[in-house]
Amino acid sequence: MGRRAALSALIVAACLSSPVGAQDFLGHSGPVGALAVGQDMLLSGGFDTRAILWSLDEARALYVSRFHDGTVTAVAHLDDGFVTAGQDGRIAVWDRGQAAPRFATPRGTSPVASLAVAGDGSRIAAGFFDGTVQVLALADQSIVTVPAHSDRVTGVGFLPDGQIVSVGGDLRFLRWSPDGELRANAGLPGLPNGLAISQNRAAIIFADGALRVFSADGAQLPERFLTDRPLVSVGASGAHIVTGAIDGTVWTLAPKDLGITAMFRAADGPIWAVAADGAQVFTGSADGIVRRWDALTGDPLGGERPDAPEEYTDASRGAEIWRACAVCHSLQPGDHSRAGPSLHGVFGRRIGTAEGFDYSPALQALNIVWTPETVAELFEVGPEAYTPGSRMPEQRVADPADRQALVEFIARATAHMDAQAATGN
Amino acid sequence: MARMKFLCDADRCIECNACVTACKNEHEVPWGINRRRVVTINDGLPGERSVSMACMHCTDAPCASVCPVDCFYTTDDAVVLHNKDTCIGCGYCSYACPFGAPQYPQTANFGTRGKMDKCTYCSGGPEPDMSQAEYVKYGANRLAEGKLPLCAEMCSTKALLAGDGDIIAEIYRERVVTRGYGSGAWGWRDAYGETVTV
Repeated sequence: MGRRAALSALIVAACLSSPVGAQDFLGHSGPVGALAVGQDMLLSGGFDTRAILWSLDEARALYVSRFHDGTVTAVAHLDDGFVTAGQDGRIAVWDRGQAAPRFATPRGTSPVASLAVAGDGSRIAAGFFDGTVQVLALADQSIVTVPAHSDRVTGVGFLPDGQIVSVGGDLRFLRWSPDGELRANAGLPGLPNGLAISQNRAAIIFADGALRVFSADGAQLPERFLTDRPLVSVGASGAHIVTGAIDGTVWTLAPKDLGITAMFRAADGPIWAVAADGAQVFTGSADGIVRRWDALTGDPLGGERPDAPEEYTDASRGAEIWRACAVCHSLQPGDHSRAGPSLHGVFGRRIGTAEGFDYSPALQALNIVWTPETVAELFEVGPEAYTPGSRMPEQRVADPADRQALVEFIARATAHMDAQAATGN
Repeated sequence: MARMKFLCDADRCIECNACVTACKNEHEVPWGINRRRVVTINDGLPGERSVSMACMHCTDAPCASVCPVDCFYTTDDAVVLHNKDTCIGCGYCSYACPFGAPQYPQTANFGTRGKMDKCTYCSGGPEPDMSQAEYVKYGANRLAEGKLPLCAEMCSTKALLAGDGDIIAEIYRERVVTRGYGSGAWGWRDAYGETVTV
């Protein structure tokens, strides 16, 4: 970089520097798998089925949506709103300040894996697990569906001229005209896990730990092996390409030569989502916290965080079985819903009545009171038979002793929390 | 105890898809799921190679490290299996896998119902060996019968090898020395953290 360019970069960085006292973003109650940063807002989507629009400076949740029936897998900003997409195969277009989407595509049979918005804001491209790419024109809400890949579409993006780039599990790099005509088709050296458009080129992350840059024609340009663990998230601002790995490491790189600007440990587990503006990097991980970092140094910018509520556990067999339940359910009292409701005090509660949780119509229509016996029965026959039509994934506990241990643990946890509340500890 | 591995000799694969068909037939894999697939790199260009891809049963498997419900486990033969009773179909393992192995039923959204399905190295699941319950969920357990995975057994050019890692690596070494070239044992470095030195 020349001296003038370096000086310009410093000025830009100073102008975009993060606000004093900036905070991390606390609101999701499960892995955060989608992030997009806009002018003054951050958008996140998670396993808890929530999409949250945040004020960037204050890290305050401006709007929380539970529109999608399943994980929110991809998000993007529009000039006057935002887009969310989910495991339910739906793409929802939102105006800011509205409680319901302006419009949404019908429920599909394949989850959306990736999402991009054209530079002029006129079209949205979505890549699906079944290999198709949908191009949605916002003006007339028309949809063009292209059978693009023979495997999962792992990344889509718009080039500055409006052409669409997609990569997939079939190890193909494809470029499409704005109306869906195939313009380029090239092979990839490994399994791509995502792409970000940076300076008219596609920055593609791979499961072999490499970040490779490709031209619009699919010719490979610089590559950099960053790790021997899979890279699973990528984002780009004008100044940086950012990528995260499954071991919690994040890199910011210079787009031109892939020189590493910063490398830092952002979490103990996978970094499922990253986003970047000029000065800050945002990361989403399994603990549900969206953290912010200095893009140049990798220093944390989020300040001190309050401790998360302590989860009750003991060394019992029931606690061991509960670990699988804990991904979707809390045992905290009050509205601590994750992908499912809190199970604090579940025994004696009628189905579909936990405070603050948006139940599926199928579950609300059932007439079950949860008791140790009915919960045990649920896991004996499985939710598909016991609560048909609900969103709960099929789970069975085959051993009657394990089912008993599980319900006893839930009862113990509730009693423990209630005793703590009574003594003020 | 043997350390079971797969080895795909990309210089021998002729993209016949016999491995894919054998797998689907042996395990009655449902429509929409391929536990094994053949991918061609540089199709129609100099340097074209086909590789047969499935779960490689990695050392330090990335799928297991990202699973939120810890449904993966490694057998004494170093085969990476998962428990479908515990799997919640979240899909995270599919992002972590370098080989695109995790598959999901396409008749429903996997987040709401479907369980992940992948290659079992023909060694079933946590249910009792060769039981009906094991077959319904995971397919045949050939390892328990003293046999190796059918995909490799059916490979007409023996591009796909299965067995003890040391033995199949030695077979590959001998091939490369004999024929004088070798484009590498595809995926070994990613899966096992090492290359086959010749």
